[in-house]
Amino acid sequence: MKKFLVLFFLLLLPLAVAQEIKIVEYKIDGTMKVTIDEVGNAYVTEVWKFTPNLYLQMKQAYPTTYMIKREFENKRSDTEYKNMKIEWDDSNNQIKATYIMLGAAVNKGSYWEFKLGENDLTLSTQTGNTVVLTSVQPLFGGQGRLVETITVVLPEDAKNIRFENALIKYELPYKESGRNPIFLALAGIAVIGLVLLNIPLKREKP
Amino acid sequence: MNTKVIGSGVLVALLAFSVIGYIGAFGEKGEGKLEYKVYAKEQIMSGAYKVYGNPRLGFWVAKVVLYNSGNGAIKNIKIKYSIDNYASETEKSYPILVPNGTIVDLYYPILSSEVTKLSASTPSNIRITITYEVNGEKKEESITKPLNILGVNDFVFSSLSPEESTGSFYDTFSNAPLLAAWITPSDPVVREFADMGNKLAGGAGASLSDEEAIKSLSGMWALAVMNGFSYKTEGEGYWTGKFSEHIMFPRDVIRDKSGTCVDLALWFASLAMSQGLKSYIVLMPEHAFPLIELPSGAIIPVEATAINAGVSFQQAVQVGIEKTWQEAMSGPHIIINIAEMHSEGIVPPELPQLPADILSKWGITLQPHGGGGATGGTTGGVTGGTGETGGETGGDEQTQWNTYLGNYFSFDYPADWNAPEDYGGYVYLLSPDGEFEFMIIYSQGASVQDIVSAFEQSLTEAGITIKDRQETQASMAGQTVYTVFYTLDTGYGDYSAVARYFTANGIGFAVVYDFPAGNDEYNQLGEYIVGTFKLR
Repeated sequence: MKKFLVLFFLLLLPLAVAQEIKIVEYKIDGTMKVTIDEVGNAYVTEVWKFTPNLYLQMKQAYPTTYMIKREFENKRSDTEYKNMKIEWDDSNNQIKATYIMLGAAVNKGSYWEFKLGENDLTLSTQTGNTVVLTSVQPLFGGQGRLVETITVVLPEDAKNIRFENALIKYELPYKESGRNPIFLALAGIAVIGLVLLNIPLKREKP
Repeated sequence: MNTKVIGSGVLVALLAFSVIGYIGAFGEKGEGKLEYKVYAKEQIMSGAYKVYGNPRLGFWVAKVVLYNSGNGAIKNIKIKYSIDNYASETEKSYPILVPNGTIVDLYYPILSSEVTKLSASTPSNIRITITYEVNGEKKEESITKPLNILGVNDFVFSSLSPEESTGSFYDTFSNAPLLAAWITPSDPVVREFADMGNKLAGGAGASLSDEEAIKSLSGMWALAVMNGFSYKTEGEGYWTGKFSEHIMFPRDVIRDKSGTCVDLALWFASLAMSQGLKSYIVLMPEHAFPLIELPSGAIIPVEATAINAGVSFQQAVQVGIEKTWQEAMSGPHIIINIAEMHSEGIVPPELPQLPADILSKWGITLQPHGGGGATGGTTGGVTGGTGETGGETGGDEQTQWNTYLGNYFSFDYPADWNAPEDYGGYVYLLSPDGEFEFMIIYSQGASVQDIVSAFEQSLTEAGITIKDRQETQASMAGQTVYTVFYTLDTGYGDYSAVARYFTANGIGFAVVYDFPAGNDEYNQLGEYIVGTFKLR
């Protein structure tokens, strides 16, 4: 009799069943409009759109909008939120939030800097003082992903706007009170004028 | 009035305007006024200490919110942070805070790895100093906040304060992703355990194919079963998430040979990852278990607590598929993608270096627990035999016997025969005349049914027809086991085969001998050899 060739094919037995187990990666599409005022606060309107199934799961996980609100506006939050309002929109499987992010943009002296979290950000377009970005952010312990289009409207007087290293930078000079060198220059001109007008030059004959 | 007077008047007015403007009468005069709020964590987990220094993860330890409620700017703001004994001073600076402006500053401390030496909660302080200038005048604020640094095995399931939490499952386990810091595939202790498991499996490259992966996982599982790993129940209130719970690192599970469902899930996920397999942890109310992703992408849930019953890996997977996974999916659950969390920066702490032979010191061996002796080698070579049994079975009282010593079992065979050969899954002995075969087929984690199927399928694949099959029970290694008498058509005569199937120490066995039908001498010889079979 030939030697039996017993391999470990028996170990494949559970796999046929195992094929049915899949980890579904959730994807949420979002839009976010951010309007930044002259002191760096951001006024935000944000919409997250879910698949019907995920929307139901979200409502089960967060039966009240308080629970979602608390995810943002809590003691752990890295942002200071104000006036946050969140609404479920059952007819469109989405939630809508409006809020203010205090100190969203930071004055770095010669320019302002607006950082939109630590997500992967890509610049889509930039027109005038409006910058459009795309953000990808992991959710649910890596089980899901939020893909969001973010429109950032900077102050009207913002200049030299650029998107660098996942930051939006812009210039918006602060109108400092007092000690403005323009006034000093004007005073100098006035003094010189008064001297020229009222002190006779030596070359003039008496 | 001449032009000189008029010109002088205009210039005087311009001078006055300039002076007034320069001193600030036209600007936003007044001074800045700083208001601040400081938020600080009450406790941090030293086992996950690296996450606190990574801004990308957002686990800040202190947050300072500055607001300028005055009319003038606040300048040269500097915020200094430190944690007594565990984080040196760091400074953040902001050149200006405009009126009505807000600055939110977050503190992500680079904590000393000394925190991992803490075995219990240790009080410390966060020191914060804010300095700033208002109209050239320097001012300073100092704040101290208490901070508890938890022991390296302490895990806080929820990051929500009691007043914020609704008590729901997701609130209770809001810190769940941080469990990734307790998964240590790179720990040498884990890797060595996995290597031993692979060795037990006869050598497996888990990332090469599903078959190899299952073989590798089965070997690691069998090693644990063999060494008496067990599941211990959680203490009362374990799942309340109200405060910290004790979570073991995988090396602790190996040392103690036991763990809670969370501990065992982290342990087995670590083993799988150490072999290049992706793993996940599923948390559900009052339970946790690992998912392992095979090279093909197929995912198997493992009911790791089944280790307690000493079942095979296949059975643990079967329970995982049919029961645990279904239950998890029918209710609230969290699936943590460990590889992704590790890549995000939720990584394990440095664990103390242990001696190279630590597994041996902890009693982890490739032998069934209680056993000892050599772990290597396939053929024995111990001569002299066991004459007392040979004589009693009456085969041939003058026969000299050798003992085959394998990793898991031993048996005697005639000394004048060629030594049995080990083919990594079965051991084969052939009589000099080629008419008698004795073989032991074994597989880590295989059930009796698995082994029966494997053996009979191998007969079919070898072109052998099973003409008759009679099931019975017979003794084997001190137990009564499932036994089948076969009549086989080999193509060159009928053969009889006797196969005993059983599991022991997490290994499925088939002990088989075959001989030309009607040859009683070989039948007795086969029974004699079976009688010498011993588990090691």
